[in-house]
Amino acid sequence: MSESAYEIAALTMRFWFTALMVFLLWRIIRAVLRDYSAQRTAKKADTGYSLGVLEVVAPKADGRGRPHPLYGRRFALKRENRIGRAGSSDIRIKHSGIAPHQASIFQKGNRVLLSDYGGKKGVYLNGERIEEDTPLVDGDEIAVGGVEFVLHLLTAGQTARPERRAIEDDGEFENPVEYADSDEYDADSDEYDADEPGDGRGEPYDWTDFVREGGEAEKAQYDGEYDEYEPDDSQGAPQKRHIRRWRR
Amino acid sequence: MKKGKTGGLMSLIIIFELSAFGLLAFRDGAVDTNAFIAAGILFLVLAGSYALLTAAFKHLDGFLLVIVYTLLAVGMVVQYRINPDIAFKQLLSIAIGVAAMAFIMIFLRKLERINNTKLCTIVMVGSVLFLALPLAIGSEQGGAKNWIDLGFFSLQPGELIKITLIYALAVYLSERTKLKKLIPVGVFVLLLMVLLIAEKDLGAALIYAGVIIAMYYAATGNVWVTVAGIGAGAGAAVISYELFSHVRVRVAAWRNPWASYYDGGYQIAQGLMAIASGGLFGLGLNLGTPKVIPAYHTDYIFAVICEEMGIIVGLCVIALYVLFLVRGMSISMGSADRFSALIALGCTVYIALQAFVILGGILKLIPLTGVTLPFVSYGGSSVLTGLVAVALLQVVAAQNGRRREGETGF
Repeated sequence: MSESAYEIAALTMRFWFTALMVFLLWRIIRAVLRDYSAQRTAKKADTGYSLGVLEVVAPKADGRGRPHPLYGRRFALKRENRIGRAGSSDIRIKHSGIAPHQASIFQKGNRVLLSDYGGKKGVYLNGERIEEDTPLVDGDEIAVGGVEFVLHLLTAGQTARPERRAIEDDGEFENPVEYADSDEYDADSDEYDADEPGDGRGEPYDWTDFVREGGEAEKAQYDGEYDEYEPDDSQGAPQKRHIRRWRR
Repeated sequence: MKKGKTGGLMSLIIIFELSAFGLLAFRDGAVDTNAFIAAGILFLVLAGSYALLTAAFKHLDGFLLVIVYTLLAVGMVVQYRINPDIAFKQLLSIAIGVAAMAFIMIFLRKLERINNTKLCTIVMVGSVLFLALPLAIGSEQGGAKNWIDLGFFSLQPGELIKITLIYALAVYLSERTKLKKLIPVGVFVLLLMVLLIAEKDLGAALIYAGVIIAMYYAATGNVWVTVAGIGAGAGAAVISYELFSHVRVRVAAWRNPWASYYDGGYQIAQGLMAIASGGLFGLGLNLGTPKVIPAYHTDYIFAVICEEMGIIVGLCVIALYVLFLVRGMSISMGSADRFSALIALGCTVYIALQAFVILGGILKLIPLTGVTLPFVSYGGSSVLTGLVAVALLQVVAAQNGRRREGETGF
């Protein structure tokens, strides 16, 4: 190529190189800024984090036909929620059919799972008793010990977990599967509510009793129950007993 | 780090280097096939390593890699324009550096493994000996005796020891902050500084001082000692001004390069004239006169970039170093433990400080100091050290990413 031809080419390509570099720089800046703001939002999402809501849909009425105090109650779900009668439960339900440590709804990776702690009565998902940790979807019906819930998942299938700093780990998250074989659900343990009549577990509870409305068994169920039912405002207070660190 | 985000940026880099080399291939009468060979090898090294690293490491900081690769590409283009032989040498250094980077990222997944005092002591002793080597068997260059000529290529220990300095400081500062317990690393630092001054490598001494002060302040937050350290640095600068004649020449040249034009001011004056004559878009590749500037392919390469590709491109290069600083700081702040955070901080400060020192000197903001522009300047040790620093930053970034995803291993 002759010298003047090269000169023309080089002179023209000046603008090309400049434009290319500016474009490249602009794309880098934009991507870095977007990445930064995404991290900030992820950090913010961590504080008010909620898997969803667990809503009580049954029992609807008590033995006398009045609306059951439990009916319609909604429990906000954290990353891990232990359901049971025990005071340390995240979702504490003082219902005679429910064991102190009955079940758990927890997040693992990008799934939400339902776990049975091994109570006598079992945990039922959409009518079927679960044997192992089962994934949950929005709208699932969960039944434990006479109480039925409907699950409203807010963040089903979230793939990116918000940033958590290891030093702020307060031990709230433990692997509930470790409790599957635990003997914490002890029939004779004194974690039962002392105000309950008898040994606190009421009549032996049969799942099918629930279907019969106004039946004798049901009446016996509720007679002692709703008098003692008090608004439970211990929900949301982080319970830290029996904590094992979640292995990250 | 989604590959889609940074993959597009990599293609832009490749387009840039291919078009630039393509243009340079036609600068003389006959077609210069070496230009295409150089472009091809650079493409393989950059694009290949990018593909491999992003595939192998899920939490790689792609932006950091893109920034560094852009700078490497710009440097390669300008160096080929200046002298094809040194361009191929630089290509070799880049290849070695990228391989070292991959090696470090593969085998050093947990930084904690090297955080122990025994290893640190060995490293410190070795570093002092290595830095003393040029005094014994080195060759003098431009008044400074900081090189070792090994025939085919030359080594500059002053550059390579920066990494061990960062490492030693991080090991000690992460656990103890009382001055008494920092005595071993304090002695180490003192020995290094003495050796650098003996070798008359004051530019490196300046960078070392900056890194030390930054890491110390980040680790301890002790304002008074930091200010005292800066004061000591300033005092040392004044003393060196009194002691060394070439420091006086440099300061005089900085204040008025045209008064001492035929002496010390020539370099700065030529650099300023080159930048100015480039204008916004430059004179055009291969159409400038870079060879009248002393050290045109090492320290003063930025002036050549501005002369031939314009001030806008020059500003882009400066912005890239700023982005490097920002990215490195966010990696450092995202670390969970002090050791990783300090390592990341040290590497970031080293690159950013060195860039700003030489850019400031070229633009006559501060007196000129003999340091290289990281990744852009010609210099095997400079490129290698820079890429090792990037490797350490990537290791910390990978740790952060893994922690954030809640995986085990950290």
